[in-house]
This record gives sequence, structure tokens and C-alpha cells, in this order.
Amino acid sequence: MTLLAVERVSKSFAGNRVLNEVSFDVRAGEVLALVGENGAGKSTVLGLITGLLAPDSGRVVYDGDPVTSWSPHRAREVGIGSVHQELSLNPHQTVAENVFLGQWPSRRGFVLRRDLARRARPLLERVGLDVDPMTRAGRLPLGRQQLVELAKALASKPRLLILDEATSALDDDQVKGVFTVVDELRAAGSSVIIVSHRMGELFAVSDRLTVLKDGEVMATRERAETGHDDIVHLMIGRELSDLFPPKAGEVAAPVEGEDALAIPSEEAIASDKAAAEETPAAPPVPAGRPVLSARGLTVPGACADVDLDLEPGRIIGLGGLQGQGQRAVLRALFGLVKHTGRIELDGRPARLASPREAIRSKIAYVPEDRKVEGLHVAQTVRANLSLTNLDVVTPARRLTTVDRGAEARLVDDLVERMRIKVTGPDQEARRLSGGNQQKVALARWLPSRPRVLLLAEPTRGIDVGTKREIYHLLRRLADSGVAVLVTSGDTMELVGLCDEVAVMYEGAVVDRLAGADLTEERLVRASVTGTEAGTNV
Amino acid sequence: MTAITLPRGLRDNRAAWAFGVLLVTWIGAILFAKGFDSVSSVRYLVQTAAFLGIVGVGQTLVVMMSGIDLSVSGVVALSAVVCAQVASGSGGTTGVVVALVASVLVGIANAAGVTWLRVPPMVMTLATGTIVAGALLVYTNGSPKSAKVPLLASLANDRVVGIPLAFLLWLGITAVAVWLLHASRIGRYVFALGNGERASRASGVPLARTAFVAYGACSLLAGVAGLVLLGFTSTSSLTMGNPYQLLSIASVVLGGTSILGGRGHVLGTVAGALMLTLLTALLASWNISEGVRQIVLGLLIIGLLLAYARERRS
Repeated sequence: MTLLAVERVSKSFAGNRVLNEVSFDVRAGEVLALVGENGAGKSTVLGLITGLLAPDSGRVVYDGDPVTSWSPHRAREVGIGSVHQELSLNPHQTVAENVFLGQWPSRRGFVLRRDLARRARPLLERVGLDVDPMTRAGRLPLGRQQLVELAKALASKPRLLILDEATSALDDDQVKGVFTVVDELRAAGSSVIIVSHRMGELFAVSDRLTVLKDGEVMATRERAETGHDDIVHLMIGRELSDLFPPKAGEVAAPVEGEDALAIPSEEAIASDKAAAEETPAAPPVPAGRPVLSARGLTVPGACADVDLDLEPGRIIGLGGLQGQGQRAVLRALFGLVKHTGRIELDGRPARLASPREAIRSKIAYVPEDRKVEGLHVAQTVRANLSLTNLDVVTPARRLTTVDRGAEARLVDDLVERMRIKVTGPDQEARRLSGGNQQKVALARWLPSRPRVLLLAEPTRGIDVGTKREIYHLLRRLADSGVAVLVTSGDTMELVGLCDEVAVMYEGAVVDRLAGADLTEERLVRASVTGTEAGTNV
Repeated sequence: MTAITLPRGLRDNRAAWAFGVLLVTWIGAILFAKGFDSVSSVRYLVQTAAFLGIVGVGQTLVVMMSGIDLSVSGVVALSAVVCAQVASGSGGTTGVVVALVASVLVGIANAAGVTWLRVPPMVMTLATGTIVAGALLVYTNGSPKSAKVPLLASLANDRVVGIPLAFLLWLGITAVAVWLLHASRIGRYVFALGNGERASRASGVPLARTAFVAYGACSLLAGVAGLVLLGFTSTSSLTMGNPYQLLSIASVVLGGTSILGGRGHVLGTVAGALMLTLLTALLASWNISEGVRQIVLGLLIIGLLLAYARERRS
């Protein structure tokens, strides 16, 4: 039985065709994966299904009736629940209040708070969330908040659950919990539409995969009859064996000068790859003198006694489950949180008490929350790119008056080198896709030539094409002498990109993996057990 | 495409809107009310608008960085009262200097409270304003002095080729503010802060320095307005600043600057101050009671806000 049918739907925004004759259906008791790069039209399709958008032509049929204009409220009434990457929790209310938002149990106008907590508990357990329902939602780490969103969606007993990048902030364990829920729903005859950039997850859980590219359905495949390569090929029209660049020391001649600060061209990527294949057994680069080293770095309540050496030319990863203190390490090194311990820059003791001091020491930070901390989303791309380069844009010799010419050159240059897709430098950052926002967040640091680059979740929620560009850029930066430190919840990313990964568990580094020891299996084992599992397995 | 670009262009230029509405209102006043069609009426209008306008320019700097300064009413009175008091003993120039220094000190206190003690701007500036008002009462024993300071009197009343000097002073101050806010490094910091403090901090924006410049300049300008006002009336009073507290904020918002900060233009505030002064004069020209006048003014402010300066929904 078909629960939802999308029939030859087209949709344009401002003359720009976003969807072209898209058709697919979701059967009752089925999990359908919707796959595609950013901008392929997935969000628009979801908007049409929930009735937030109206199609220009074609129609969406849900449970036998055509979908006309619905509100989120109405969508919930007919049994459509959704969890999005963007959180919609009210941070000042309790977890329980959030779970039942809009449908609190009440008697004579009074909300029954205790009843609320009691009813929330089984839902939280179901999504594998072990928190007190009376905790304020804003106090939970990002991943747990996303699980609260899921519990909230389940509270209205959905017949169709939409998971739109709903696992982006989750670690592998939490993702497994979500999949258990998905399996339960399927067994109970409900349907699920899942959108994710993590291919492994899609294959683990879906029954069929529908691939969108440039607003058209490329194909719908049964999971059993397809594989990663097939789907990726449909998505982007090429193979992805070169997703990750060669590691340190595998390329004959690192790029010097200005070229290092740009996303490499296809030819450059190909030649890097060829060079790496010619020197397959290159030994890891000998550890050079660290630019930045930390001893006993401690942030109360977040991380303790962390030792790190960041060397030019190497990409170091911070792995582990979500929320084991990785973020605190980065924020401490950028002077955003109070910390203790010894930090040395070029062997000399340094104090990083504020981001300004960190920036002066040529440390740059690209935060995980690019909408709140990484960018000024309401400002233009130009304003965002020049804010971190005011020494160039508003030179002291002009009494700090903005030099519009220099600013335009800086912005045009960065947009071109980073291949940022914008309508113009006046476009507001919030109108860019996630991948392009991330490029802006990274690009704004490049002109000041950072020596240490800190990145938190650099590719979260970003399409695979942009991911690849960012990986290659980071390797270029490293090759040009930058020390890079990355946190990521994506084990494949850490293994593919980093030269060494320090695994964190409950605020401490429990293992360090490098060279042949750096495999997904060992990384996951160390993350989960919190012990040194890398070398003696 | 035009359907997309046109409203966006208009929305982003709310300062231009403010001038448009001002022009229409002014033409309406000339056509339908008595006494708005002479050169002298225009001259009087821009001269009286200068007092509010100077305070408004300072307020714009603070609002643009997501702050608000409710102490301007206190500072206007502080500057006038202190100048009158000191001038009667040690001469006009000393009076002016002491008054301006005292004004800037209030701004420094505001910035310190907001950045270091993390007191919300609305609470901090309301408190300093109240303290200033109380201190003036103690200082003057409740009876502030009158003083004729020739320098201030000519600044407030003289004309250069027929243009009131106070208006020129206001334009000059505005020109400096346009540079500061829209063409200098500190202006970039102010706009960044107005669009998000966390992102600003992570971008290396000097939060404290920016706040000290904005609040300091705002208080300085409130002090200047107080001095011009003293020159205009030759008397000082403890309540002479009161109208400027909310009207300065209204002129900023009517000028198209977002009350949440981060978007707008100083020039809009010039239109806003002129508009409020024009409306007040217009209402005064009709013979209606003070109470009704205030009600109508309040309704007009809301109406104008809805017409072109509404906040977008995020």
C-alpha cells in the first residue's frame, strides 16, 4: 500500500527551476532514503510533502488525499512527524516540556508538570536518551538535543516520520539508537523518509533509495540491488575514490605560496593522487618542531590533562564519541573558555586568554556552529570575509577608513579561490547553502595566513562534493606549513583525512592512532571502550 | 527577477524610506496646515530638530551594536546644569569642558557596566541615568542656575548665511558619525556586534573597545545637546533632558535602524529626528490639548513603524 505519492511535481523559485517532474512514492512500512548533493532539491521535496510549499505542477498524495496547504500543526495531526538538522527546541524549557510542546497535559488550565515528566520518560528511553526529563533542553549537548527532537516527533505517533539530516550531530552509538526506533516504526507499519549525507547510515537502514540530482530523480533503487559506488555515481556523476587527499609525506612536492590557499583544481587533485600512488609506502613524516603544544590542558567540567603537539604539515584529529571534551580543547586553544595547563607557541610559554590573543598568535578557529559563532549570517558575504581581515581592509595609514577597492579585491579573490557559490558579494550569508557557508567561515581566515587552524566538525551537513574540496584544501594548507587540528564525529572522515587521531573519552585522551594503526575499527573501539585499543589488537 | 530585487532593495534602504515619508509629511504640512510654508518656519524646525538630532546620532551608534542608552535624558540635564553651575563661578569655557568631561564619564560607566559586569544595557543605562538625576538634585539643592554663556548662546541661536548654526553643528556631527559607523574599522565592529556577539567574539572583534567608543560617543553627544539647549534657553533645569530619552530612540527606529542592531544608517536618524520634530510642531499648530497631542504622537510613531520600519521575522 502506498502511503505517500509524489506525482510529477515541479517547483520553481524566482524563475529558477528547483524540481522538475519529480515522482516517487513511499509505501506503508517502508524506509525510503532521499539522496542527493546540497541543492539537489531534497529540502524542497520535504517542504512539499509537509505542505509548507505548494507545487507549481503535479501533486503530492498522502493517504489517498492530495496535500494542499498544510501547517506544521496540521501535518502533525495527519501523522507526519519530522526531525531536522536545525533544532527547534526551546532551550529554556525542560526536555519534557519540549517533547510535548503544543500538547501539554493540563487540568483546569494548569499544566501537569509531573505528568509531563512521567509521560516523557518512555519516549526518551525509546530514543536511547538517559536524561532527567526536567533538565532544561538548552543544557544538553547538540547530539542529545537532536534526540529530544526525535522524541518530540515520536510523541505524536507519526505514520510518516521525516528524518532530515537528523543524525548529523549524533555519534555512532546514538545513531544506532535512532535506527532501532526506525526499525520499530517500520515493524509497526509506519513509514520513514531519511535524508543524510552519511552513506553508511542510509545503507544500514533504508529499504529503497531515491537519488535526486539537479532537481530530477535519477533513479530509485532497492537497497539489495545497489551499492555505495552506484549511488554516489548517480548523485554526482563521477567516482569518489579521491574523496580524501594523500596524507603527509605522500606527495612528492608540496605546493608553496599563494596556491596553497585555494581549493585545488581537478588536475592538481589528479596529479597529487598519481604522486601518492608512486610513493605508496612513504613513512609518516618525522615529527617536526610543534608550533603549538599543550601540556595538561584542562577545562573544568569538560576536559582534563590533555597533551597535544600541533606540528606544521600535519593534520591531527580529535576523535571519540560525541561530547567527550573535544570541543572544549579547541575552544580553550582559541581563548574562548577559561583553562589551565601549559601552552607553548614555538617553544615559548603563551597565554591564550581571549580569541584576540589567539588570532594575534596566528591561530584560526572554524566552529561547529557556523550559524551562531562561525559567521554573521544576517550580514553579507563581503562583511563576513572582511571582518577578520580589517588590517587589510581598513589600514591604519588611512586612519582605519575602509578601502573599498582593497575590500572588493580581497572578497573577489577569496570567492574565486574557494569556489564559493554566491550571487554576489552582497548576498547575505544565511542565503548560502551549508557547504558555501562553511567555505566562507574557512575563507575568512586564509588571508591572515594562520599557522594553526582549529576546525570543529568541518563538514557537518555538507554535500559530498564540497566535503572533498574542503579535505583537499586542508591538506594543501597543511602541506604549506599550517598545523591543523580537527574534531569530527565522522570516523571515516578522521581516518581518511588525519595523520594522527587522539581519541578522547570523558575529557581525557585515551589513545593516539597514526599510520597503519589508524583504522575505522580501532578508532571506534577506542572511542567506545575509552581505553587504548589501537596498538595491541 | 524584479519581483525579487525590488522589495529587497526597498527593505534594505529603510533610511531612504524615512526621507521619503518625511518629504511627504512636510509637503502635507505645507498644504494643509498653517505656518509651514515660510523660510523662517523651516529654519525654526531644523534648529529645534538639532537638539533631538544630536542625541539621536549618538543613540544610533549604541543601538547599532545591539545596545540602548536610556541615560541620555540624565546626561542632557547633567551637561546643561553642570555647565550653568560652573560657568557662573569660573567662566563659560571651563563650564563647557567640565560638562563634557562629566558627560563622557557617564558613557564610560555605561560601557564598563555592560561589558565587564555584564549588566543588560537597558538596566545599566537606566540605572546610571537615575543616579545622574539624583546626583544633580543633590548638587543643585533642587534649584539649578541660569547662565548666559555667550559661546553657547551664539552656537544655539546664530546663523551662517541664513542657516542656523545648531543645524550645521548637527550636520557636522552626523558627517563624523557617518564616517565612524559606515566607513571606519570601529563601524565594522559595531555592525558585527549588532549582528551577533558570539560570532563577533570568535572573529576577534574587540568587544570592550567598541562598547566604550559607542557609549562614550553617545554620552558625549547627549552632553553637546545639553549645552546647545542651555545656550538656546539660557536656563538649565533638572528635567530638561526628559523628552530626549524615548524620542531619541524613536528617531533612530523611525530612521530605519533595527532596534535589535546590526542594520540601518545614521542618515536615517536625521530624517527620524526631523520627522518627530515636524509632527510635534504639526500637532502643536492644531489647537488640541496636550494629552490628546501625546496620544496622537504615540499612534503616529506606531503607524510609521508599521509602514516601513517593522522588524523582520527571523
